[in-house]
Amino acid sequence: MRYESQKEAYPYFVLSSILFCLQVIFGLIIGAQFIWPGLFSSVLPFNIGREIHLNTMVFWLLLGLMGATYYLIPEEADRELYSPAIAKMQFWLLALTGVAAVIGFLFGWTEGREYIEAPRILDWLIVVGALMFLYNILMTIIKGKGWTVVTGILISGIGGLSVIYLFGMKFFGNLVLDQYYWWWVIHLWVEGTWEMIAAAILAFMLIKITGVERKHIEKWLYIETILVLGTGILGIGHHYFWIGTPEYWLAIGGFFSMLEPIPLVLMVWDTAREYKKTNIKHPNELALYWIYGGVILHFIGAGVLGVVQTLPVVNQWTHGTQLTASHGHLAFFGAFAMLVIAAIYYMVPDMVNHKYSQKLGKKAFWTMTISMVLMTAVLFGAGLVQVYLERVLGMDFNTVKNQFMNIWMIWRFIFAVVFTIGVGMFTVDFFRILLMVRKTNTVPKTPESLSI
Amino acid sequence: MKSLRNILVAVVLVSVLALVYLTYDSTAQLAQRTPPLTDDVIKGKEAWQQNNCINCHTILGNGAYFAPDLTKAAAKRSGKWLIGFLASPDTVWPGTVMANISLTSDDAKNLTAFLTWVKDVDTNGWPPKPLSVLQKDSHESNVNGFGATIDRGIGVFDSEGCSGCHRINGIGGNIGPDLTKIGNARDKEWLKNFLQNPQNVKPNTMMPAPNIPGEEMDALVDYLAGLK
Repeated sequence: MRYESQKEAYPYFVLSSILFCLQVIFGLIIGAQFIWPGLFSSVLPFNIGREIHLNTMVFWLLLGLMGATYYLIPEEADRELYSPAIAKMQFWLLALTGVAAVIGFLFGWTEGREYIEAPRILDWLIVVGALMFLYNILMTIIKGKGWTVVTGILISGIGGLSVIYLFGMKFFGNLVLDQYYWWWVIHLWVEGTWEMIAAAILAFMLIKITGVERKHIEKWLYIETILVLGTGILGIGHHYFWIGTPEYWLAIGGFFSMLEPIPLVLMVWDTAREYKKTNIKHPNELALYWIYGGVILHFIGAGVLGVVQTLPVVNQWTHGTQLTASHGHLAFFGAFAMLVIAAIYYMVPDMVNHKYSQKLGKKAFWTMTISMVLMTAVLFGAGLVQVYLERVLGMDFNTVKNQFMNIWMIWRFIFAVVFTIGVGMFTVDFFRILLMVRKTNTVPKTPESLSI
Repeated sequence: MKSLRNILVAVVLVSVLALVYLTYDSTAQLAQRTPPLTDDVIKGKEAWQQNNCINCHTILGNGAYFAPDLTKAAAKRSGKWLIGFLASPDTVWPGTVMANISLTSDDAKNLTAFLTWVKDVDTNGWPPKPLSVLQKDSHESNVNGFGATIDRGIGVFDSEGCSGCHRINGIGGNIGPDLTKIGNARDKEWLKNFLQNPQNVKPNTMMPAPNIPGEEMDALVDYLAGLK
């Protein structure tokens, strides 16, 4: 860390980790409701619990990515943040909006569209928050030493994300059109703009940690972004097979989404290569755990679990089953959750030159990753059984759920409990490091070897 | 680096332009692929969102996987059943997990109109027909003789949602009695009396009065009496 204003990232990380805890607690409750449908159902019906589970996730990931951006922009632009005051105001605006959304959901205030349930007025507040954010980082770059590839791709991703959000704000009477544009938001976020942001933050951390030449890493950042967007934008077609859109989407979606794993394979390959090239031993092993672990689970969750069901001949059987839930959980965790946690573990201990105990953090890492892999494996099994009984044999949904799903859902719940314990460890560890960092008031001059 | 940047810009431009064109074309085809939107369908869609249905159910395969996909709900159940169920889930289907969302009768009608609209959307054949139609097999395996009436009876059994509570050959709910061999235990007259007004025959029964019109009732009774 070289600039005082990089600390503006920390409140974002704090709220991010609190919302992460909320997300898994609500996830645990709705996971239990699969087994005991009556549990808390009078105070917290499944649909409200799930809505909170999804929205806290979107929120904590976005806050985490924003925090990471605030941290890296001053270093990339070689100057203090344009306005720490805007960063603070933006934080409080978004925090209050998030609290209002969650409380509103509990009382049935909702727009009723998955992931983007926040009511219209809150949508506008989120847009204002996003504009403040964009303005602040743009001004920092412009007043600083100018663009780098990392900031270019990062800002394009953030700009794109904000524009795409607008397509989720309209009411459509026609359900087909509703789902059509809903996918613009969801797909072009997670398989487009979020990927750009994540790739840029990952590249930044790799430059700092591995000591591999910036030029090399930036070249790969370009190549990956070209491939992600070149396959991903039209890869949206794999959501347009069965929602009432024309038949040509079967060909377009099938073709482009088969190519979507390519950039992920390259990412794994290239990161491994960079890891081998590293000639300095960075003291922050834990950040590396999350970075490399994330790269691997990103590839398995988003790439492998996605591509196996993306062709129309397979997807007609698997669409809308627990297989999608399996893919969704591992993809979000690997691609974004692990990256945000990696950023937190790199960017917070940076204040104290990465001198901190990594014991609890490593325990949290193994607990969370192993239980998440097992949980999604169980969901995958549940999905296969569901596809066979419901789609192939023609049994009715409720019969399958009541007679055949319980054992799978019990295992899922067990692994979810273990995962929650892991999240608890992470949270404790994070606040421990944060308190340690707060005691150090001055920005340390990092040794040259750690800041390239 | 500059050339990579130019490639990136070109790739994004081409992809976005292609997506915009395909969006234009898909929207233009909407009128042929979806039934006309009426006021009650749109109001039903609003009710669908206000009640946050998507966070339990799926529709067109997208949603929460906790409750049944509703794309073809209106093909599986009668409109009358749907309206009754939506207005008061527990009365029509004792023991259902569906939350009592206390819909007004207008909302229940509009939602049913919405679900009826969705049923006729051209989904490129999704969901696919099961490879083995187990439900029908289970109905037929122990019916003496098939015929138009029996088929109709099976249809009534399905559209009234009987299997939500009753099992036949291991398929169905377990809230009500197993009906696999109901024809041995009850005759047509008893069945008809019971179905017309369950409370009269068994005062404490959970069975809701299904309120089925004459001919359909006869078909259902014929079918049930034949289960031996």
